[in-house]
Amino acid sequence: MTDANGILTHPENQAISRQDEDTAPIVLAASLSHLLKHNSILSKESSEDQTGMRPPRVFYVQEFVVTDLDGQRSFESGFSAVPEEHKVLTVLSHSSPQQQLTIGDAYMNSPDSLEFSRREFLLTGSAAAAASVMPLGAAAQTPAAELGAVATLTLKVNGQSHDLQVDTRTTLLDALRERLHFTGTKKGCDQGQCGACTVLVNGRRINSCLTLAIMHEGDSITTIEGLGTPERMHVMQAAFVKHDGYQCGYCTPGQICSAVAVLGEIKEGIPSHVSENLTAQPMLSASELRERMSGNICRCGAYSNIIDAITEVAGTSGMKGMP
Amino acid sequence: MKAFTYERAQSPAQAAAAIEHHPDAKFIAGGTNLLDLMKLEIEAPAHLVDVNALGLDKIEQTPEGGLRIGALVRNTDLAADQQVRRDYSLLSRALLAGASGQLRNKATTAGNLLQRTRCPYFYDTNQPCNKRRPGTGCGAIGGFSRLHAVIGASDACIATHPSDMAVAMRALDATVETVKADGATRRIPIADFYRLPGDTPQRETTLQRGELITAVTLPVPIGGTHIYHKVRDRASYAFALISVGAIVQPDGNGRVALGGVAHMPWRVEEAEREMLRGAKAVTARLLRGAKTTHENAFKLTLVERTLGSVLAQARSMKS
Repeated sequence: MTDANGILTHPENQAISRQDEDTAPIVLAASLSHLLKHNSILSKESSEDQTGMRPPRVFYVQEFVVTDLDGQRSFESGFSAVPEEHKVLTVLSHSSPQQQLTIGDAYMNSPDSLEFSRREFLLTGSAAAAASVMPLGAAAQTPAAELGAVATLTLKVNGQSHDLQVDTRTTLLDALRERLHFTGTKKGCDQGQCGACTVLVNGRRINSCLTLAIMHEGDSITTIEGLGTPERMHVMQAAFVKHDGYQCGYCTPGQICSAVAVLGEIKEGIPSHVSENLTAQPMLSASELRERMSGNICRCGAYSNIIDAITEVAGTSGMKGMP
Repeated sequence: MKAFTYERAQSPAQAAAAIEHHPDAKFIAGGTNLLDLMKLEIEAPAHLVDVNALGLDKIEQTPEGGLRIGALVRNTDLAADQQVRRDYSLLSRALLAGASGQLRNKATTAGNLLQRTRCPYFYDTNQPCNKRRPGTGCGAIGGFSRLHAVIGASDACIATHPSDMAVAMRALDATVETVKADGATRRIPIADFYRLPGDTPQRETTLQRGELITAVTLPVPIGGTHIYHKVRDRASYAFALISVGAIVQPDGNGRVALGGVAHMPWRVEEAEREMLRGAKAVTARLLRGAKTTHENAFKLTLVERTLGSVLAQARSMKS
């Protein structure tokens, strides 16, 4: 997670994330001497330049100690993938003014020749670019040779634009949950079979686990958080509550996003497998709703209540007159 | 997932060139099958060429009175197209019988044609599979093979093609249009598009490296009653055990293609001469030379009975 200044924060650390709210452009500090001692600034060309396109040169910073400025918190971070042109290490010394060097500079200089060594520095991004820290678990399991390319993108989620940099492998689901913290969207099977990750993209329901974040630049994404809030629930959310359309609740955000889209699809006249007449307006029957909701699995088996909830919403949203 | 670089192609020929120049590159469109396989590292492209911005998402009338379906038309949109529903309803029915609403919103026409088998031995990287790793053997032969092919298979592979849409395309005599890196285009009749496994089950189509599907065209509508009957283990959202796609004319003649029985949508034009003699005669010719495993011999009976049901339904719909 990054703030408006592109400051690096850690997505899985609440103490750090809390700093997003601060206006001070200082969130993290790292021990450069530690970093250099462990020879852990790695460089990697992200791909060969055979396609005529210049891939970004990416540097990876590994195993740096992160401390906030008062020295109270620290933890070992995992990899941070940082495009060369976007990243500046701001070096802070207690005795001298701030100095800056690019990560490229840091890499090119040996530890001994680096006058900043053994001083604390801040790892910050330029205002235009965000930085990322991969989750610790993922980083720990990822050998340096398998580090991916990084892409910069803007995701428009629930009406708000978010700039971020992601490993190209990041699914839309992981970007929403792990980077933007829209954790209402759930990861169930992660292979398009359960529907827990269903979100609306440009008004259409899709499995966010089976699409890449980088493929959704410019798209309008709606998650369960964008449909309603506990105080102002979407009519479908309220109907699920009223009809007890869940037990454990894990599949529910996906069910609700899917259900909202299903009513839209019926309204548009899109037929289904159980539509008897392909060219007629689809019926608003339980069998139609069951078929259309078959991409959302509920392990608790709340299906009949889910159908009741959707049926009620259909009846109160101008679809009552349908056959 | 293995790391990869990514680019957004600006033109079909440029997309084809990007693949040709990058030995480990792949096209990505809907991604619903490719990303699943990439997570399992069954597919591990080093570079992805995103073709979604190529504008190949239109359905247009051809000068001959047929239909030209852009490669990127989503399954939902193709199934819901007014003319497809009216004149090629077999195609709508087949599409709607496949996958889920979410997947159909993403999956594309070309991607559906190119989806890989759902053979569990292909998916399980601990198992031998000649399609996934040529030369390692076939775990399905002698293994769990209830879902597998009963005709056209080889000693190397008994996987089936999972697509419902492709079965309809085969019965409708579709043509696959492609472009290569040098801009050259090609029209491949769907009958020549898929390959039987033979000794090279890893090669599933006659497409060449870097060749990009730009459209699928359908000939002039032929009328008739269109029926797609899919038999599966649950009522929705499951791959076919077998499926029958049929177009039956008022005089009882027609076309039949099968899904779930072979490495490709299965159609034998010669068998269609038997249509007036009924399902048994058609099936006997369609599946002549069938070779079943200890677990999937039921498919032969299932095809015959499902076809019988489809032909009876066609007769009742005519009257």
